[in-house]
Amino acid sequence: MTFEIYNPPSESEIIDIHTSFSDVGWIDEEPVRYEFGASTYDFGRMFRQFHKRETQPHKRLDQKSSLQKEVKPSDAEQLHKWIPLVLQEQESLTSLQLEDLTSRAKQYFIVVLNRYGSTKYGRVKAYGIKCGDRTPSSPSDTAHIDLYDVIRQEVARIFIGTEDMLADETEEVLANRLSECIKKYQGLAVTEIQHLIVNEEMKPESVEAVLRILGDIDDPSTYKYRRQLLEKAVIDSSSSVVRDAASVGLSYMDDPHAIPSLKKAIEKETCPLVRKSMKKTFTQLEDTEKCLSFCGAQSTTSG
Amino acid sequence: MPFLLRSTKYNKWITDEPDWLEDGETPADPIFGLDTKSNTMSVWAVESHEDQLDRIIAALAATRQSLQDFEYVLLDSQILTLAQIRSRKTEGKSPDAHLNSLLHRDLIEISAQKLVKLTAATFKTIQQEGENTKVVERVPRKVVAKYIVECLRQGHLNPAAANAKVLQDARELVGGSPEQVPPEDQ
Repeated sequence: MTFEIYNPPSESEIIDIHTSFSDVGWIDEEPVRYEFGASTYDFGRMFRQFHKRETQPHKRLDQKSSLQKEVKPSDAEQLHKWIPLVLQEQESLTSLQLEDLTSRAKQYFIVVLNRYGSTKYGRVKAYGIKCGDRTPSSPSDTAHIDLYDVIRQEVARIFIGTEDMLADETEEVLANRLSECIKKYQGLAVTEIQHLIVNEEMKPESVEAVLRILGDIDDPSTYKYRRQLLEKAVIDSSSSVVRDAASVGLSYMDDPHAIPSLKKAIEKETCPLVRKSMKKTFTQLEDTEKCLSFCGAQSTTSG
Repeated sequence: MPFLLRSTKYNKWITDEPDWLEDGETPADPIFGLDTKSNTMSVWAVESHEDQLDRIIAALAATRQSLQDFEYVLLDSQILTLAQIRSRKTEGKSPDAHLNSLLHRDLIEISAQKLVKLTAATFKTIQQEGENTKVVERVPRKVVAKYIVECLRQGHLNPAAANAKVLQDARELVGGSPEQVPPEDQ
C-alpha cells in the first residue's frame, strides 16, 4: 500500500485524486472481506473524514482512474493534525526537512491508499504543489517514510518486556501503552494490532489482554474499528482464551450492534466456559438494546 | 460450609484440551487460577451458590485498582478435605466488617502437592458440569457495579476502606445514561 500526501491548492476546490494501482475499495465494503482488512478501511476512514462521513457506494477504481471530490476544510484539518505526528516519528527526517515538507503542505492533505502485490507495507510520499497548479510535482525525496514501519515499531514497543511481568502489571502497562498508541495513530494502530492477531504473531496471553483493553479504551475515533476487530476475533480466533477475551471486550463496549456476531459466535463455540461467557455478554447486550429502545421511545414521547 | 469463594482468573480454567495431555492429567494453567501467598489462600465461606455472593463480590471488587469483571471459583469443602487442606477462621480485610468477622477463612499449610490435588479436582468438576457449571463464574462489570452501589446504599460497605475511584465508576455506570456510541453507518 502506498499513502500519498497531496496538498490541494485551495479550500473547497474540486481536486483530482489519481490512483496508480487497482483494487482500491471504499469503507462501505465490509472490512473483514479485505485481504488486508483494516489496512484498507483506514483508507476509508481517511476518506470518510475527508468527506464528512458521506456514505459512498462501493466502488473499485480501475488502474489509473481518477476521482473528483470536493475538499472539506474541517475534515482536511483533522488530517493535518494527524500527518505531522507520523512524520515526526521518522528519525531520519531532520527538522529542516520536516519544515520543508510542512511548508509545502500548508493546510490540507489527502491520503490515498493504493494496494499492490501482496506487501502490507505502506509508504508516504509528499508532493509539493504550486498554488493554483493542480499537477503535483515530483515526490519529495525528503519525505519518504514507511508509514507502517513507524506504526509497526510503535505497536511492537507496546509489548516490550510484558512477557516477564506479572499478570496485573502486564495488564496495566499494556493498557497505558495501547491507549497512548491508539490515540496517536488511531485506526492505523488498530490495523496493525489486527494484523498481529490475525496472523497469530502475538501470544494468546497478550492477545487476550489487548482485546479486553480495546473494548475499554475511550477513543470514539477508533470505536468502530475496535468493535469490528473484537467481532472478528470472537468468531474466528483459533484460541478459546482469545475468543473469551473478545467476548469480554464486547461486553465492555456494551454495543448492541455486536449482537449478530455474538449470536454467530455462540452457535459456533465448542468450549463450554467460553460459550457461557459469550451468552452472558449476549444477554447484557440484549438488555442494553432494550434499554436504548425504551430511552428512545421515551424521548420521542416526551418530544 | 459447603463452598469457599476464591477470586480467580476465569480464563485460567479455559482449555483447548491439548492433545499432548495424558488421560487423568490436568493442564498447568488452572493452578495459576488459585494462587497462594505464604502458602496460604484467602477465601470466603458461602453456604450455597447464591448465598451472600453479591455482597462478597461487592466487597472484594470495591478494593480493586479499577472497576472490573469479578471472577471467582467456588471450592467444594469436600474437595478440600480430600486434598487435606485445612482452613482457619481469620479476620478478613474487605470494606465489609460483617463479612470480615463472619465469613473469612484462610486455607493454610498448602503444599504444592495439595494445591495440585485441589486444582485437579476442581478442574475435573468444571469439565464434567460444562457450560452449566457454577464452580467458576465471571460477573460482568455492570453487575458488579450494581452490587457495589446496592451494598453502599445498605451501608454494608465502608467507603473509606474501598477504592474511591471504583465506587465512583460504579455509581456512574449504574446511575448514568447509556454510553454514547458513534452512529452506525447505513
